Amino acid sequence: MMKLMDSSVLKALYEKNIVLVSGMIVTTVIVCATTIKSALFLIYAFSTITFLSIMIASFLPRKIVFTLRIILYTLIASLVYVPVAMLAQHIFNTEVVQFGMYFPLLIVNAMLVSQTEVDYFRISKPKMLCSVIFYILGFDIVVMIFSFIREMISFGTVNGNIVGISLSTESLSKPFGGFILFGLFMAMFRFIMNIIKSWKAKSE
Amino acid sequence: MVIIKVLFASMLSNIIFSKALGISTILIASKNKTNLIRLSFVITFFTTVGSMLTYSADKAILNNKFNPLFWPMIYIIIISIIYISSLILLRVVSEVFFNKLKKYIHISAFNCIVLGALMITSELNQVNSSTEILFSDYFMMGLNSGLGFLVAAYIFKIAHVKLDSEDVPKSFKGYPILLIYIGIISMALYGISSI
Repeated sequence: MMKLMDSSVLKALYEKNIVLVSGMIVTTVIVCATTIKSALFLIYAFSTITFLSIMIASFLPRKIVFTLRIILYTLIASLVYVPVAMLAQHIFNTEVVQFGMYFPLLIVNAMLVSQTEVDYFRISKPKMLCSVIFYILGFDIVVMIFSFIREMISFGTVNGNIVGISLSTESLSKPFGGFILFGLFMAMFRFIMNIIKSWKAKSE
Repeated sequence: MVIIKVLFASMLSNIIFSKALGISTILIASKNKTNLIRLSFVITFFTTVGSMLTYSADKAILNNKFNPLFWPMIYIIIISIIYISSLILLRVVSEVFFNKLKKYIHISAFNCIVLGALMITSELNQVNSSTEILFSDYFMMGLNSGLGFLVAAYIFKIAHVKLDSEDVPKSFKGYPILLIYIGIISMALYGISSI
């Protein structure tokens, strides 16, 4: 079990991180992850919709043809979206309005539509559960760190508190700022990973 | 002149550069140039036909005062109808075409760009609820979204050689440089549209 956990954690958190390495679910991160508050909402929305939908979808028989299965996955997600959105309206009222159509767009996220077929539904249930949790966690960590940096550079604040950065650039909170900043973030991640890899290879 | 206007509009209100919709799809498809163009045409088909069907759905939604929480489900049903009918139609018309295009249909149907395009079109109707939005407006919005993706795909196709060259540092190769490139174009378009 520990071995299974170890491999899933490593794969999901950095080797095959769903956003930083695979380039999936980038849209919401670029547009919506501008502050820590919005990151918290994105984490809540993505994690609950994806986890619950994948878990429910995993009970669908594999005999159903691919075309119908995909439709059923998204229909399940759109059903899951209803209670998730109802709860969100109570907890994150401002963020729900700010996100607009990007919130319901999470029902067609790549993790649910493509990863399920390629990866999760081909492995055993416990392994799948482990994998899904850590992939979601990988996404959540990236969103949190990225939003923290973006909020600091864009508004000079951390969770709404002014931290006294004189060179804040508000335009980085716009989608084009998100593209550039996330591109740099991805490159920095790769740079660090390459250093770790070469350091590991040397020590071996 | 009309074509230039449509192209200019699809550039300025580009669904990729201004709203970042379909980024994951374009990032994955950009690995293969032929894929990118074929995919763009299929996505344009989905956004256009989808918007046309959304016209009737929106009328029903607004007349019956459906809870907005269920709207995404209605759009998913619309996409599913186009998805299944296009697969059946292609199979009936030509087996060769079916085998060539089926993978693009699978990729195109359920992604941010198609669902997003339907939602944008629908938002247009809600914002202007006092004035009647015509069927042609829906058609044009859907076509515009698809063309936006096509234009973006073409821009990537042109830049692909330079973005893939040895001059690009190792850590920036692939997705990072592509995102920065999209960011720069997006910033330029944002500047033009603000004038």
